[in-house]
Amino acid sequence: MQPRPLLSLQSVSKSFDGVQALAEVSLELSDTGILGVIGPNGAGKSTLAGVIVGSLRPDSGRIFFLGREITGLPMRKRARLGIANTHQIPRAFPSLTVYENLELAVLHRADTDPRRQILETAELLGLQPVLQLKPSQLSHGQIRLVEISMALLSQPRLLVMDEPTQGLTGLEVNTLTEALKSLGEKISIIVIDHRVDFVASLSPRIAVMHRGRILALGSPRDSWVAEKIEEVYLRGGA
Amino acid sequence: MRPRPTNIAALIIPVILAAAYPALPDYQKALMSRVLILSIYSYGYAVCFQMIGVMSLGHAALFAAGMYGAGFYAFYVSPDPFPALSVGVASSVLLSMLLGVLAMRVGGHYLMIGTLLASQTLYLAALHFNDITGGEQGLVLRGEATIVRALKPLLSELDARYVASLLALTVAVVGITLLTSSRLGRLLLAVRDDEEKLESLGYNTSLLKLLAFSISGALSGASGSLIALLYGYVGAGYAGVLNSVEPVLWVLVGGPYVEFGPFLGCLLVNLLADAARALLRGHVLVVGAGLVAFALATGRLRWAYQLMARWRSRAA
Repeated sequence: MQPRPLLSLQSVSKSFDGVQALAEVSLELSDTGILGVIGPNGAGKSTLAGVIVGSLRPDSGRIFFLGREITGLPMRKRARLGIANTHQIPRAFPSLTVYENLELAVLHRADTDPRRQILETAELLGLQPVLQLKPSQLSHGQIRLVEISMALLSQPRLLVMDEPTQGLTGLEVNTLTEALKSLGEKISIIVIDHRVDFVASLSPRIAVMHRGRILALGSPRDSWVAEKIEEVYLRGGA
Repeated sequence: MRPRPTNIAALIIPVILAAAYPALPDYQKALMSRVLILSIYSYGYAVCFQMIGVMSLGHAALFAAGMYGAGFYAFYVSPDPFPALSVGVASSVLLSMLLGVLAMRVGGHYLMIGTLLASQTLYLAALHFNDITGGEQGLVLRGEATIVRALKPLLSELDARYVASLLALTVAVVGITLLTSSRLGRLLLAVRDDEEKLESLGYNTSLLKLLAFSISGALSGASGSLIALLYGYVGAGYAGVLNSVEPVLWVLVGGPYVEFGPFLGCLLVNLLADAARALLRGHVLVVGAGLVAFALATGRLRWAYQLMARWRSRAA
């Protein structure tokens, strides 16, 4: 018997004002590992993230998480089931310090020692020196690391990351890559990015998206996947 | 936990007010008593406006619910002022929860219009049920119903009113200080900053907003109840539009710090209105002009707020 997938999308479609952002997308994820999703601007990558985390409702199709249908479930309930996300434009709460931001991610879990976990995560992503600062005093890359830390602190089973390297320095990208590789052995991660080299270095399995469809799903080393990448990036998917 | 400078500043307010009291002339004592009670209303509005970013134009309904709740109890049931105060606060909390459930389903302009209409409905109802509410003329509570009468064996009427107002404001300031330092306070600020982000962390932001609306209602209702029980009068005028607009002005003038801004704003605007009242008959016009001028000047004052925010960040 095949193990139950962690996440399953069945023929999910979504359009905005007549423009098809997702078209009959089907996808399955297992409990651990990293899936890279690549594609040019407008391919439907962020819409895919939105329907998984619950910020967008699909027009049709069904979504299952841990065997339970979550298609109509609001975002906060999906978060409580273990789906976390980071945004294309990093978001932190400007009125709160970095520490207070991170604290919010662990507050609703009564079984944990928040301080220890916050300090450990801050150390992992190099945020310890800025814990008492406000987001307005941080660089763009640091705000992104704050958001990633918040997602990690919520102890997700599935982490959906939209363009996680945008605005990060080379050093920060390396730190993040190592952290994600290690994390991918414990949970399932979807990394959405248009940088093929970054996604390929991180993930043994990638989905190539174009015009709301998944054109190829497999290892970046597979020749047919490489062909599709070349097709959408160099020939516009023609 | 290290106390924040803004909390310390807020807690100094009651100390200064207590220390200044003996030096105040009688007229200023009477004026300040009223300002102290209205400051509680200002804090109530600030919880809604500054902490969760919800702009209501109908808070007079919550103020009036507290005032009528306490006033009706004292007038029709029992003259004992302390149960009357509890009834007043409970009435306002109930109304705020009802309004909150309706208002949180919409946002922005719709919420402002919805709360304004709710407040006007209460105002018109107070006028319509004239035989119960006393309408525009209101109800005068029996002497023994007022808190002033309860304190009178110990203090003069003027002193009793000031002491009761100061005690009530102190409770409100301590409550606000505790709220802003608490996890709940940080969650409310997070709702204002980015509601969707907070939802994505698993929080029910509608519930948090409803809770904030209820806290706001409790403070507004306490202020309304105290007006009834300290001055022995309830009237429909308190449910009018002006009483909804004034706390907006107080909070805007008071600046970005919810710990002491609502008191400062209420104090400054009321002192200005009082000075205008002494010079002109149309003091409401002066308050309105002040609101317009302040709204226009806010853009120019932004640098000052940014400077204060920078100091605050350094202090944190």
